[in-house]
Amino acid sequence: METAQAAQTVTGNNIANAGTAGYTDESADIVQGPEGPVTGYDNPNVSSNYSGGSVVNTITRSREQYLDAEYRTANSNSTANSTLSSSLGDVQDSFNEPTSDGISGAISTFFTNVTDLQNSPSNIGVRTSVIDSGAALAQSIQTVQSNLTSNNSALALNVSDDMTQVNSLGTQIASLNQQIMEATAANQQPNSLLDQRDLLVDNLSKLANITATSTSNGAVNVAIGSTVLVSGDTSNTVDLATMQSRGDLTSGDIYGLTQAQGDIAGYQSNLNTLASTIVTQVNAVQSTGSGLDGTTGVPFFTATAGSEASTIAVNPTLQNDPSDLAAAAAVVAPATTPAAGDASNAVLLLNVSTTQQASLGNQTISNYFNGVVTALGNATSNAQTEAADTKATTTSLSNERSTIEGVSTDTEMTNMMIYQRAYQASAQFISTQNDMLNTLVNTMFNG
Amino acid sequence: MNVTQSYLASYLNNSVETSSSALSKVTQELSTGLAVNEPSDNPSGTDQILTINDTMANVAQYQADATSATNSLSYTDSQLESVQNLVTQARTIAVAAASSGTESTTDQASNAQQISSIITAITNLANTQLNGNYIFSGTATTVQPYTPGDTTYTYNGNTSTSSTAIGPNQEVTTSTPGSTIFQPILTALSALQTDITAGNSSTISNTDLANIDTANTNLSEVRASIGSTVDQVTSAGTDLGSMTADLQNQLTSVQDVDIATVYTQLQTDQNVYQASLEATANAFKYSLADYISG
Repeated sequence: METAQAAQTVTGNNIANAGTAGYTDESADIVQGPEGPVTGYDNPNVSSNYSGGSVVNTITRSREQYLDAEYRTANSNSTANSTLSSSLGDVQDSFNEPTSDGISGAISTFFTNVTDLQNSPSNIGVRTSVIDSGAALAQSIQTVQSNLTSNNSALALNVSDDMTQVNSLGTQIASLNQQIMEATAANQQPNSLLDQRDLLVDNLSKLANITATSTSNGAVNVAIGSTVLVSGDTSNTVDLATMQSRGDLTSGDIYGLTQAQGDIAGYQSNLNTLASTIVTQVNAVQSTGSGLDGTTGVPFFTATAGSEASTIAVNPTLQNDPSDLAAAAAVVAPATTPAAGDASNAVLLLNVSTTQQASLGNQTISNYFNGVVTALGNATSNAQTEAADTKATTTSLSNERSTIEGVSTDTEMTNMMIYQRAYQASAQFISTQNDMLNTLVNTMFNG
Repeated sequence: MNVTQSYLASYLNNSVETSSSALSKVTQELSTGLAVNEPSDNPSGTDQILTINDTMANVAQYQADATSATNSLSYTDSQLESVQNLVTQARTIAVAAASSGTESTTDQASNAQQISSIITAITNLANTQLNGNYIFSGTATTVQPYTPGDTTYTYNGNTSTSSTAIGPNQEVTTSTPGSTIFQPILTALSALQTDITAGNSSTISNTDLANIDTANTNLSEVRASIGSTVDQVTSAGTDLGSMTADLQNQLTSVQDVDIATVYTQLQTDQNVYQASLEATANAFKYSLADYISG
């Protein structure tokens, strides 16, 4: 009866935890009880060793170590890819292409207005449009660059949160290790502690590529690449720079985040190159020509060297006086102002748009930028595909694990009925025994 | 396989998630009408869209420039037509002056007066402005080519020509410096005026008429050249128009959604989504617990 009751308790526990994350289905291992002499018989010809019923030996968790490891590897991979994919999605939003409001549209508009300048070099309205569209171009580059900086800071914040979490999980696992080691030494079966620890290791696998190794004393050692996070009952505080310098991170959320940060840095550097080329080339043409009033040497763009994309702007002097825009060729003495219809410098300015720039890998300005956007599109699309693929793998492993480690309430119901019947039968047995004793006693005393 | 509750939950959750994200993608395409909403939707298509948009902006500018070049060339030609009519009038007077020989002083004075008026009219035409710019002063568009009343007929403009881009590496000359058109005419007519006043009929018939004819031929050549430029610009404009249509078609095929296909896809995705929701709602409906009587 006690056996049936104990088994029933396990079943009840399983049903109660059918929805608990990390809970592992348990089963009562029922074995025959210890043999012993049956009292009341002393005939030496009859074997006195009868089987002593049944007892619940252990309560086993249905866990598969191999599947756990597979799942965690897949989980790290899938998290890295989905993090990269969603981060690059944000980067795409920052670029705002292909729309007419992005950098590509601004480059087009600027040079289209320069074409207009070539045809009407002395028209102040046309000059103002060229200068204004130059300012719009500068602004759109600055906006994208600053959006990318915000993207990067958001990722950096996530990385630091993740690192805090890694170290906190490490501490928790080490503490569970200690409790489990003590329980194991005392020959106990600390199933709920084991479940908790497995769940923590699962959570850790989301953050980084980890290897969890079980030891004979019940502890689990956790490492990220060659960096040891947990060893027995002690945990180490790990830091990102060290792990990166050792090349320890290969998947997981942190890896995905740092990959995305690297990509963003690349796009920011691309934008710097673009902005720097625009500033240099446009200013070079501007410096060779002459303004409507004969003014020379008023640069078109201003920017801080090295951070052109975040500082590019139209020279305020030019904005205040559009006649300073050098549409004409340099004035030859004794003349002091160029011919009003001279547009030869505007032609040179327009050529900037069609020239293959050495600083842009021999591409034109707009081709270079289109290439950057296309590369971003490809990177995002690949990350999305990878994320979907690795997610499918993770889901299938997670499902496989659920079928083994999870609780089926129907199975538990069936078990419940078996144990219920066993309990009933045992009770019936006792009741029958009681009847038999009654009969014996009554016969002896009343017969 | 042991179907556990957590397995069933995660499986159903996943299928609902997959079908709802497919549905949201299709809904986005339908609401924007665009197949490429982000570069990752179609990276190579994005490159095409950006390139086409850039080319279309250029083509639109070239078209506008071609139109304005045609207008300005036509206007120039209409002014030169008036000049040519005046030169023809002057030649008629010259022919009369050369043949009669014994004209009265009154007639001489009247003829000379007519030539003087013609010269003034031609000078005014040479000083024509379009949109505030002198069209016959080369690129010195703010400088009046001939000062009225200047009997030496000094050209004040320059000899540069301005041009308009009507396509990549395709430029047409849209102005002719006044000096090449008007200098021979004004010089010839000014000599004619002097000779009529002086009654030098032989000089008129021997020199002045020939000079007028040379200036007139030169003018005809300039007008023919303007005419051929107008033809060139018009044909370029037509090309640019069909190029715009082609680019628009290309852009549509890459960028826009095929409404019929997307609607069908929407219907399919809706059905799948509905089915997965229904499956989820019914999954936990039955349990062995329902059939165990206490």
